[in-house]
Amino acid sequence: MIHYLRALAARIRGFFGDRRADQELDDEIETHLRLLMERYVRQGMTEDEASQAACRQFGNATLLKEAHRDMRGIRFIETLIQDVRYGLRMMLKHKVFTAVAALSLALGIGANTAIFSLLDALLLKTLPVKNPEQLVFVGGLEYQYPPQLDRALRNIPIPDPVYREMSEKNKVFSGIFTYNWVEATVNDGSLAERVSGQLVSGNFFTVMGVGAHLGRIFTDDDDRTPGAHFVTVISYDYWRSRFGADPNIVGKKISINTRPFTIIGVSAQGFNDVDVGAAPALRVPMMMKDLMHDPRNDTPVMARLKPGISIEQAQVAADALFQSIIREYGASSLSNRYSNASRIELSPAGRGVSASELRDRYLQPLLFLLCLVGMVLLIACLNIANLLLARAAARRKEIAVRLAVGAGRLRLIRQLLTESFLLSTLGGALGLVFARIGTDLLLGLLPLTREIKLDMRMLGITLVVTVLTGVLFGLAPALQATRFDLIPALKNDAAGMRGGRRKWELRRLLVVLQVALSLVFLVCGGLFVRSLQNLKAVDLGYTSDQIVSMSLALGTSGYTTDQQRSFYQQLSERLTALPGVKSATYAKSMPLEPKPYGKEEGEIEVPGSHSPPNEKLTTLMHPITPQFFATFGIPLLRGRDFNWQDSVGRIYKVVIVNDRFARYFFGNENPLGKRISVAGFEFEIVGVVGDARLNSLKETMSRTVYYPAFTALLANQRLCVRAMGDAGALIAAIRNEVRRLDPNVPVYDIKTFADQIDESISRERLIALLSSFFGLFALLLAGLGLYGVMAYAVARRTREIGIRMALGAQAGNVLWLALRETLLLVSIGVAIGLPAALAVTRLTRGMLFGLTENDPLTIGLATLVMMAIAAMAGYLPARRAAQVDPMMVLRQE
Amino acid sequence: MSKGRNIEAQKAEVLQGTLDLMVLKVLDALGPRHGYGIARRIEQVSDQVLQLNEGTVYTSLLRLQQRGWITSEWGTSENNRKAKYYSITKSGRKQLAGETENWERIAGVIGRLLRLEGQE
Repeated sequence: MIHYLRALAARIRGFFGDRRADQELDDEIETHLRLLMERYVRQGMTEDEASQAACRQFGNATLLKEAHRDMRGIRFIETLIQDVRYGLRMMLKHKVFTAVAALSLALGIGANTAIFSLLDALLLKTLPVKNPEQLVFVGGLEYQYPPQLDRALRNIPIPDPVYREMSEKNKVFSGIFTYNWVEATVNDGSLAERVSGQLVSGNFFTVMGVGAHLGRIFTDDDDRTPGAHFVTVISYDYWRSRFGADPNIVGKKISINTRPFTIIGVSAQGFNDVDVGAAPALRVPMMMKDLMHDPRNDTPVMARLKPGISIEQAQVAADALFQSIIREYGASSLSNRYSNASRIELSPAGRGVSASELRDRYLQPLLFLLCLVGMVLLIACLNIANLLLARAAARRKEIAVRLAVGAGRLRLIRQLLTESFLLSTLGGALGLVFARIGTDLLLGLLPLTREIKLDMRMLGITLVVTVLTGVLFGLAPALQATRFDLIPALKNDAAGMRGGRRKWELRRLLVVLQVALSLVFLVCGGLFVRSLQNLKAVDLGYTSDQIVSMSLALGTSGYTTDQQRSFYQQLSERLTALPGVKSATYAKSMPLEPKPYGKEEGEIEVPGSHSPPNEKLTTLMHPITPQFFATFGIPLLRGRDFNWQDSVGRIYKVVIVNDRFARYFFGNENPLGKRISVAGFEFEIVGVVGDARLNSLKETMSRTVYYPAFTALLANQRLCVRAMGDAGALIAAIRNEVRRLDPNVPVYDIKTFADQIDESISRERLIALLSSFFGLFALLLAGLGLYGVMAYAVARRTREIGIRMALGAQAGNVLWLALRETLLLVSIGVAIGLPAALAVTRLTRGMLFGLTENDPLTIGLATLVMMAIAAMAGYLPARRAAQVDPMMVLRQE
Repeated sequence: MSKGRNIEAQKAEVLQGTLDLMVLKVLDALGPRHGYGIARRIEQVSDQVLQLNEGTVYTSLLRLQQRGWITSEWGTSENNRKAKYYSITKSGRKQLAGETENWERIAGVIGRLLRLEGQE
């Protein structure tokens, strides 16, 4: 063993010091020959005779040198280079084979890596902090009315007084901190922009265990007096993107919401936020919350467990403490939401939290996609195996020739393995590119604000799986191919390969599996495509064209509520005066935009109308501003629109109801002027408008009440402008008008409404796109595989077919003979694939719109398409079989 | 010429693997030598009985070197030429001892076997 290792080391040294070693050997030989010659001359030979004798005595110097080079290991490398070169030539020669094989590998590797990376970032990855398993989220638990439903509202923010009490009195946490997301306007003197920020308690970084990349992090002293700490810690990514990684950033002043703040540090690289989808650009002390215009007096709370304390122990202790605090304060003095909270609930937060429901929304689709791409990888491997087996069969003759002229078996196996490796490497390299593109593509389709890094473990795993497949199936034919009898193979005899029958069965099995998997894909793809079509065909009840919207941050620009209203009013007037503008309005959130607190619903009472027993009538509620209906093209059927006077003060006076509402309560009566009570407030109906789906494409048309957005709701509205022509052309003019009114108001996040509607079905589109793409790809691969197997089968049976035809078989009979096999394989594939598809589609429940997961039409169509492709793949070789000329075949014998 | 060929025919081929042993022994007995010197010594000891392509000495030297049984360094030869001098290492001596014992055992067995046949 030691000797072997030494020899190997010498070989490696030999390869690198090769030139010098060659030269040295030359010198030694030269010296040796000289010494021999001199001896012969001394014995009385002439120079010529001596030289000849010396050479004879020494032996063949060229052979010697070659032997030495061989021993030093150079041959090993030379052979490898030769193999690689030959392998590359084979790949170039069989372009289609190479392309199909490498592409399927790349897709398998790329798709798996991309989707797993995303899933990992959203669900699995722990926060990059010390001992993340000690972190817990401290949330309130409230039972919603009616109590018998027992539906708990979880993770409610903790009121500030309770947080303060808990942080002083608890004995189970080594630290407890609070945070809250805000938006802020940052101005560094040259450019004002809106960024996402976070208010954090002074111990946020220390308890979290996140250090500073530059400067320092907050301490408790940075968070003592309300409104007195003008310091900020910016994130690593923001430092790089906005400040160009300026090494002298610490101590620099920037303006946040028009007040000067000092940057005291840059937080550590890799840490974004406790929320998996968020990445605040900067953090400021919690005591600055008034300046950040954060009116909430309850915030999310997280804590770090003391070492050795389990989450259950902490839960009991924290809850007991919470109960005593509640008793002490009396429920009434706490915020309203908390009065019903019965207990404190701790949940592990080592993997971060998901405030925006990103996890819940995308968990199922991503898991499903991972399942799909796992099958893609499987198909890719099946396909590679099939292709390699087919190629080994095709290369029987070449290998026989090489064996016949004396190639060693090991040498041949090495050659074939090198080719498999080359293919896998090509696939892997392409896969890396695909993974990169795939991740970017997925990120573009998801509402994520942070970057996703490729998961190297998954990349490694998929690479190993594919390379192993390549090697395994590259090796099997290599071993088999080098074991067969040379003579029949050279004679081009089909029966020449021993073990051929078994391999043939293996290929059939592979094809059957491919057909089955493709069918699963086709069914899934079909379901999602049809679901997407259904979504797109939904009648919204309003227009999506020619509307552009943008955010205005009035709330953080120092406006009082009255000033805000007058600003909006003035801006509306100016904008409507612009040529090309039809109307303008403001909305807290756009139609179809996900609402952070869910849709607003209220109980309703209409005098004279009786609600059915055991059921409380409810209605959807929407706060709007004047011109909402005109801008979104919702028809005003009766009465009037709101005006700005309607939203003065906090007392609701008037509402507009939708057609469904009016018909339900008033039938054909005129609802105008009727008084109703919604959520306990009295209103007069002043208008009726057409029905519209404002919350979701999937909702059913419901009774809806529109009320004027009161002043407290006015901060941070989105401006929506409806254009006569192209809305995009108006953006510059709109910005200009805003700037003329107040240059300090930032205009940001500009979108056309059509884009936004697209965004609202991004999840569905993503899945439909990917699953149908994979479905078509799988179908193509299955077709190719089937074709390959059938073509091979026909080639093998040419002689038999010739004899049959000579004995009187018709072309039709022969065609059927060849097709029968195809149909058999496909039928088996479908028989396996259909139940598999039904099992897989069960996972899609809740992700489909307008059809069920076992939609017979989709499944029937998918089966038909599969059959049609299979029939085509089988027909081409079958036709070739039918065209066999019996005379030709028989003469070949 | 014909006379020369006759002499050649009488020479015995060097048994595979024995050359390494001879080279080791020469280096062990005589100290550092270059390839030519080793060839001369083997020629001398064998009384011109062994037929040796002297080039093969170098193959043997490389093999021994790769196994770490000998080392080499450059020096100057008798005729003032650059020459590589080989010397035996500690592990080479150990190997030589083992091989020698092995060789003697086998030689003994073969000798006995041949005598046995002669008696029949």
